[in-house]
Amino acid sequence: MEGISFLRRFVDGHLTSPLILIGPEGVGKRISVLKAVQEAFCNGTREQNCPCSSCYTITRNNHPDVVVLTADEKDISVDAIRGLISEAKSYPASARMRCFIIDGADHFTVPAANAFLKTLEEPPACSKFFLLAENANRVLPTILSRCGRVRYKTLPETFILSIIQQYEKDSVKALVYSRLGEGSAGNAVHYWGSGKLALRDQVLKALMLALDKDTPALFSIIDSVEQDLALFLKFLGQVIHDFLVVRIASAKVINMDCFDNIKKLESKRSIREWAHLAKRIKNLQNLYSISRINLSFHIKTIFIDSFR
Amino acid sequence: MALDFNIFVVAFGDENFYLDRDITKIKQGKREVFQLDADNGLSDIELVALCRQYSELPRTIIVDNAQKLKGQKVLQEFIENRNASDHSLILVGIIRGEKLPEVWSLAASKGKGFERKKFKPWDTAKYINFIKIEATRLRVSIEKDAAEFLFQCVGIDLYRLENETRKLAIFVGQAGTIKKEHIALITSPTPKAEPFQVAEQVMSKNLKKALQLFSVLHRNMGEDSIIPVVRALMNQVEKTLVIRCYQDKGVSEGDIAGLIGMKEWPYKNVAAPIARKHTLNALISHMQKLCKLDADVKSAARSKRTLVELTMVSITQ
Repeated sequence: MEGISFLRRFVDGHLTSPLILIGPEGVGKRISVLKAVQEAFCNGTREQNCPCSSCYTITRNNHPDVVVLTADEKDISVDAIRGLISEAKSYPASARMRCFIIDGADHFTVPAANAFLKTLEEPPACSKFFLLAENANRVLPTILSRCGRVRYKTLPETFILSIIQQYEKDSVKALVYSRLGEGSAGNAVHYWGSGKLALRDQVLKALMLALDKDTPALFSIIDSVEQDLALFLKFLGQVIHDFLVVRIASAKVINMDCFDNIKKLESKRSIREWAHLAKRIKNLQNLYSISRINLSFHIKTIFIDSFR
Repeated sequence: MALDFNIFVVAFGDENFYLDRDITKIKQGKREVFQLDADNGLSDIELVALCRQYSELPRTIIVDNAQKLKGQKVLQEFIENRNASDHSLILVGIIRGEKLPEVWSLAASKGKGFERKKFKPWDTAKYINFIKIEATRLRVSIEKDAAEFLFQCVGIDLYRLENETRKLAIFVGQAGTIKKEHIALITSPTPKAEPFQVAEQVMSKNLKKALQLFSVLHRNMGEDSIIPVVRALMNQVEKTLVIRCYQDKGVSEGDIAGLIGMKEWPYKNVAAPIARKHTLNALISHMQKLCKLDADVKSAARSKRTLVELTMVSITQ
């Protein structure tokens, strides 16, 4: 709530420079901005289900003065930014100012970021900019220096669990989903909604095949999850984390629903080897976050090299 | 394109050269021309709104990439209600692709006042004819075998054929005749090379041939050739590793071919001999090198071509 009132002060005009909200995916950056904007623009009771036209349109992503620009799979292009800049120069339609939420400030192409600098330096009087980013290191320093920074931390496990338990009746599965989210409620709900435990099971299967040195079957499993490779890698990292903690702190195991399987697989290699694999996975995740490498090939290489 | 008698023109097909030339021709007319690109998210509502705007001058509105137009209901209604004798507006849809979308097909099938132009894929004779027409347009003549030779050198890229013909026309001068030797003198031939051929030669440990093919590919495609070559190398190493695993397990040749989805003959004569040239450990080491190369070529590294060549040398050792 404090965060929302701080953001509302920004919308109300107490702070002038644009804001950049930095934090992992799914911790509520966009929701808190929309909530603050909704409170500021509200013409009614300012309560949860306020029936005023402003609240109604904002909750349905339909408000003419709230513009959300999202980075899809690709980066945010210079054309998209130019369109946004020209839109920012127009006057608000119904509210007292226009709010622009750019989700993916770490996905600007260099020309897009440079085109945006002037507008960030001197924003039009009637426009407010919120930039959302997951990785501050990927945002151009010239953008960062022009914005006030607000950092978002990961959410506590109990909070995410309370959300998941509203949907998932099986308490063990609810715990697994909340832990798979790694502090991101958005991710945890997404994994639950799309049944991502099946993908985690594929990770375990791939590990078993790698330990059995069945390379063709291992490769075909990795090829079958081509669309979800980044998540496959993340789950692989979490399973290896479980291998590292299962003996010393079993309560901290993420994949509680397959505890026995984790224990069985863990015993097939030394802690040192698992730690080395965990390090390689972390390095690969870092590399993938900054470069569009051929993830499938890199994962196959890690598997085949680590279990040779 | 007989613009003065049509209120809708639909041009479609795969030949971008002619579609672009049509756009240029339309722009040269005396009408006020608006060119829109549906690739930028244009919707049928926006298009119809623009068509209905009042204008003193007769207008032509060209919609490029019209197959990507969002929505069709409003445009369909507009087309159905349009009077064929009203020439104040000409709407031109340029569809880049083989399939004609429903709404544009409706415009094309309306009959009087509506024109449809389709560009089909060409055979060799048509390309040679194209060269001759271009030569005539540039007021030079070209010998028959010279036109064939030019086509062999350049390939099916009409933009390049047009430019090379123009270059030759300047070389021979007005009313001159383009001969085979002129082409040999000033046209750079385009020998073909594919990324998978490079990868196959690398894995066959035929370094000289691999470097030659890569050089040809790099000359034709420039820096754009780097990533496809790296990708092809990765695929080839991966495939070889799988074959090698089966070979080490003692699976029969026929079974391996079936398991990797290859026919027996190419497997026996191409894939299997390649796999026998590498040990499992060597292939794993190649995979590591390629991972490093992949990260390097997708970063801001300099001289990416040299990096690829170094990896090729290292794999063939």
